[in-house]
Amino acid sequence: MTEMILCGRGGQGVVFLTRLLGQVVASKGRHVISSETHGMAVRGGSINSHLRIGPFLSSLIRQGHADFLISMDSSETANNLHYLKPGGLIVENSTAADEESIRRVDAAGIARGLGRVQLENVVLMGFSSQVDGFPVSAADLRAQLAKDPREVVRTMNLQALEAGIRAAQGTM
Amino acid sequence: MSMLSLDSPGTEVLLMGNEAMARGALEAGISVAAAYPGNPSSEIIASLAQVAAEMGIYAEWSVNEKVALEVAAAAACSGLNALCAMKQNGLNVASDFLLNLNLSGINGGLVLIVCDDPAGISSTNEEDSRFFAKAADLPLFEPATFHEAKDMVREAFELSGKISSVCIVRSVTRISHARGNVTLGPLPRSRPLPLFPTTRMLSALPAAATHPMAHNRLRKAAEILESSPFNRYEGPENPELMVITCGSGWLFTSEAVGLLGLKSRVGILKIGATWPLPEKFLLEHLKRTEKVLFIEEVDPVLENNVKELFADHNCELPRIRFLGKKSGAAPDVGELSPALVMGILGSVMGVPPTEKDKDYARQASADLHKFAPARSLAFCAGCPHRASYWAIKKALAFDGRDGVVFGDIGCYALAVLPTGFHQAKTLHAMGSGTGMACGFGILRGLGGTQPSIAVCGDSTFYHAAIPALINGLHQNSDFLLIILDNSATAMTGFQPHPGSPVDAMGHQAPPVAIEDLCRSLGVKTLIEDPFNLKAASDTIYDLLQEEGARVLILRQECALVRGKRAARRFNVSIDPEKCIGEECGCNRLCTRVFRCPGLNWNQALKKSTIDDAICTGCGVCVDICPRGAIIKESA
Repeated sequence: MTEMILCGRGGQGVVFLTRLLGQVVASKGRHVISSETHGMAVRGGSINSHLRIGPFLSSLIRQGHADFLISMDSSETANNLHYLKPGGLIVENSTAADEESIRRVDAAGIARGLGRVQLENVVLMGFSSQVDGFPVSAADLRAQLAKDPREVVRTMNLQALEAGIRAAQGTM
Repeated sequence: MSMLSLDSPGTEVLLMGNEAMARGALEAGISVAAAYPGNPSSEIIASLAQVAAEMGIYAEWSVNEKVALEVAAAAACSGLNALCAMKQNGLNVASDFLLNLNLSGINGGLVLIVCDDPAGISSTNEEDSRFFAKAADLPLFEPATFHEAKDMVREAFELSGKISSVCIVRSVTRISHARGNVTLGPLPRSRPLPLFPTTRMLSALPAAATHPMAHNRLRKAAEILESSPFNRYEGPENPELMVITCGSGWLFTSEAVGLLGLKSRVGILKIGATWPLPEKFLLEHLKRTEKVLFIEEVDPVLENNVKELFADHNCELPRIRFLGKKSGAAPDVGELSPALVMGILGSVMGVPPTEKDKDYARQASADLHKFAPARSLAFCAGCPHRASYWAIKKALAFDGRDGVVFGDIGCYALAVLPTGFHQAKTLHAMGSGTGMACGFGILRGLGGTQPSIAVCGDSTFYHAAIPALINGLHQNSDFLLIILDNSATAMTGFQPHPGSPVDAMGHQAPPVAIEDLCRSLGVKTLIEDPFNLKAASDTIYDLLQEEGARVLILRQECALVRGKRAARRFNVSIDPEKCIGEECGCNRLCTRVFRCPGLNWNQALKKSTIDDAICTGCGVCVDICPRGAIIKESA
C-alpha cells in the first residue's frame, strides 16, 4: 500500500505524472485510485493529485498519511506538507541540497539542459524511481513512456527519464 | 488506442470517472452524444468524440447546454439512445427544456449526466443539481465508484427506455476527475435506425394531461428501482448508528467506518438510485435503528427526502434521532473527505482518535503553519487576456468616467483577480456580463454617467451573449461589448465552438464568424489585436465616446493553443542598463502590476529579468515598460 501526493503549479505536468503512475500500477494488475485537478483551478494556481495504491475506496488521502510527497515546486511542498505522514519522504524539484527526509533534484535545470523545461516533470519521475520504497520502477516507467505513438514526445520523455535516473544515481 | 472502445468484456482497465461513464453509454448502445464543455464534465463527450468514427456514433460540442439536451432529445425521440452531459451550472441553462421534456416523454433512451463541483474547485458556484430530478419527476442515480459510474449509466439507459423518459446521473468532481479500475462489459453489435413515429405527439401541452403521465412514469421507475442492486446495506442487524449515504459520501463513509473500527456498531445504507426513493427498502432498514446520520455532498437532498418519508410513516417506525446537515453534525457547504467523515463519525460514536492518529494530526497541524501564501490564479504567460485587460484599464483611465466592466465565464473571469488588474466588477453566469452591461447602459436615461462595458469570450458569446446583445441593440442601450476571441473554449480544454473550422469529431465544419453575426445585426463591429496595446486601447477609448450598442473583437489565439503549433514570435530580453529597477518611478510595473509569469524580479540584481523558459515571446511587455528597457527581436 502506498499513498502519494503529487503537487506543483498549474502547467507543470502534475496531472501527466499522476496518469503515468496510475497506468504503470494498473498495468501490473494492482489496484490504484487517483484524483486530479482540472479547469479553472490549474490556471497558474496550486494543484495537487492524490494517488493511492492498494485496497482503498476514496481517491483522497487523509492529512498526515501520505508516504511520499512528489513536488514540482518548493512553495507547493509547504502547501501539501500536512498530507505527509511522520517518516514520509519528500522528493522535490529544487536547486537546494538534500535534508533529512527530503530528496532534491534540479529537475528544471536538467530539463532546460535537454532543451525543454517542460520535461521537468519526467526528470523528477526518473529521479523518484530511484528512491527507496518508491512503488514504481524505472523499467516500468520506461516501458510506459515508450508506448507513446508520437515519436518526438516519446524520445524526449525517455531522455528526460534517463536524465532523472542518472541524477539520482550520481548522488547516491 | 482508446480504452473506451476496447471490445474485451471482463478486462479490467484504469479509467477516469468521466471515461467510465462514457464507456457505460457505449455499452448501452448510444448513437448520439452532445454537450457543452464544463469542468468537471468535459471528458465525457471529449472521450466519446475520439472514438465516434470507430464506434459509428455521432458526438458534438453544442452551442450551449440547452441545445445539447435538445440535440440528444431529438435522437431519443427517434428511437435511439442518446447521452447528454454538463456541469451543474449547465443544467440551469438546460432546465427550461428539461422541465418540459419530462412531461412529453421520449421514444428511445436519454441519460443526462450532471457533474457537480462541491467546493467549486473549477466553478463559480457549488450548486447541488439533484433538486432538478425532484422538480422534473425524473429518476436520479448517484455512482459511488468508478465501476459503478459505468454500470449506472448503462442501467440508467435501460430504465430510460422502459419508462420512456429521461434519467439523470449525478457525478461529483472526486468521481469524475478521479481514476480507478473498471471492468469492461460487452459493446453492442448493432444500433437501431432513427425513426420518429409521426403517429404520436411528444408535447408537454396540455400539462393537465402530461403531468399525471410524468408521475406515472416516475411510479413505474420507483417499482423497478425498489430492487436496484445499487441500493444496499452493510452492517450489523441493529446498528447503533445507521449512516444513510450516496455517491462519493459512500466512499468516504466506508473508509472512515473501517479506519475507526466501527463495523460492528455502524451500518451503512447506500442508496444508489436516490430519486424516486426506494421506499420499502428504506422503511425496512429504518426500523432497525434509533439513530441515523446522513452523509452526502453538498445539500441535504437525500436527508430531506428520507425525513419526509419518515414523517409519512412515523406511526410504524421507532423514534429516530436524525443527524446530518440540518443538525449541524455534517457541514452544509463544501466537499467531504475521508478525514472529515472520520471526524463526524468519531464524534457521533464517541470514538477518540488513536494515539497514532493524534500524532499524525499534530504533525499535520504544525505543517499547516508552514503554508505558503495562497497562490492567486493567473493568466498564463503570453495570454492575450492580460493584454486585453491592460488595454481596457488604460482606456478606462483615459476616459475618466469610472466605467464599469461586467465580467463573464471563461479564463478571462480571472479579471476579478490581480492577474486581470481587478478590471471586471461582476462575475455570475454564462453571458450574464453582456445582459448586465445592456441593463447598465439603459441607466443613462435615468441619469447614470458611467460607461458600460461587457467582456465575453468567443465560446461564451455563442453560448448566451447573443440574445443580450440583440436586447441591448433593440432597447437602444449604450454599451460596449468586448469579445475576447482566443479561438477556443480554452478554460475547459480547447474544445471547438461554432466559430471553429472543425467539429468535436475533427471533421471540417463551417465556422460562424462573430463579426459577420454582429454586423448582420447592424451593430458597429471593430476588430483589434490585443497584442497591439496602443491600437487596442485607443479603439476602446474611441468606442467609449460613442452611443448605442457597439462591439469590439479583441482577437488573438490562446497562448497554449498557439504554443502547440507555432514557434515564438519574438525573443524578449531586458536591457540591464536601461532597467534601473527600484530607482525607476515605475514601482516595478512589469512584475508587480502586469505580472506576466515570464517576468521575474531579480532580488540580487534589483532589476527585472525574463524567464526564458516561461516567456512565450508575445512581446506585449515591451510596450508597458516606461523606460523602454524590454527589448524584442523577431525570433
